[in-house]
Amino acid sequence: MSPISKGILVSTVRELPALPAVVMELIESLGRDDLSADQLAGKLSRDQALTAKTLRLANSSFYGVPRKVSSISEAVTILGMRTVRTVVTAAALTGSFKRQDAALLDFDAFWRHSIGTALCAKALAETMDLDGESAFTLGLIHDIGRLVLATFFREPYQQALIYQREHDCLPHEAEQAVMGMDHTTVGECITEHWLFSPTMVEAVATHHSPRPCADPSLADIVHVADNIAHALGLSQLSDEMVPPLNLQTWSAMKLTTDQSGQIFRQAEAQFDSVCQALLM
Amino acid sequence: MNTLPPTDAPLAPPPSGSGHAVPPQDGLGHRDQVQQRITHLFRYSLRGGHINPLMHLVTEYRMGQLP
Repeated sequence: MSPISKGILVSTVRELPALPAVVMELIESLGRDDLSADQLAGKLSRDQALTAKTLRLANSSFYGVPRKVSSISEAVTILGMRTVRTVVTAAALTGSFKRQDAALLDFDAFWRHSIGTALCAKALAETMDLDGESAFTLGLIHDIGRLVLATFFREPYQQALIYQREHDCLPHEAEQAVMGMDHTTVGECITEHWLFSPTMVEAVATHHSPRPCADPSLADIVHVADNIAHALGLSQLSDEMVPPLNLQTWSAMKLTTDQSGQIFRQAEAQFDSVCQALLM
Repeated sequence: MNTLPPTDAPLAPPPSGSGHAVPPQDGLGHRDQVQQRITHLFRYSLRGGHINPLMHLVTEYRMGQLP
């Protein structure tokens, strides 16, 4: 099996359909606060499926809203624009690939792990006073390269899955051995295509190889959150495996045992309701 | 093209935690089951002799969930 060249990868990703325009705008506006509730509601009104999924997540017990949220404007009033932006983005990202096109992967298990990582990333970020909403979105997309490989590079990806099974190794090791690249490079490509910020693109690209620094970054958060989600077994796969944890990154977070336990508990308590809302 | 079955059959019995019911048995059985699952999840680090502080933390957390 010959390796996949970067050129082929880039041209494949360029041909991928873009996310809905409103979602691209939301992604581009992550970290800013200059979008009004009416603007968002107006833009979303053209996408009924996305609106419905957004409201389902907004009404899930994850957000603990005491009464039923029935419109996007109401969701913004109750949850705030930053949260609703995350909810819309999450709803769109989980609908960006079709289950039947990625049949090599256990689609639900893929998203269970991604949602688990998102919840752990949000909890971790909030513990360290970083942006929990961006961390949630990053957790959700950190492995998106695997979906691209399973959808558009089926034959080599099938070989990588066989290699992984035979060697009982990590997915990115199998992908490197068979294809000469792994899902982090593919993830980097697609997040660039989707116009995520350079910080978020880097976090996706380095989630297996963080560059530790004194102050934890979103990239560090995603690395550790991915590890925690695997350690909690949230994908529910029989062959789930915890990847190596970068000890410098871990130490820089200075988490106490109590804080770790709180993050585990919080992520597991929210897990079922978010999966239900996003995977229906 | 899709001749490979998903690698991903769920574990039997299902993992402890994550909202999954554990079949009723004595406390020792539960502890063994939790330990077994964690050892399986962390097999990469265990094989390579890598330290992963999460292994201890998750073990403590899971044991704390036992009846």
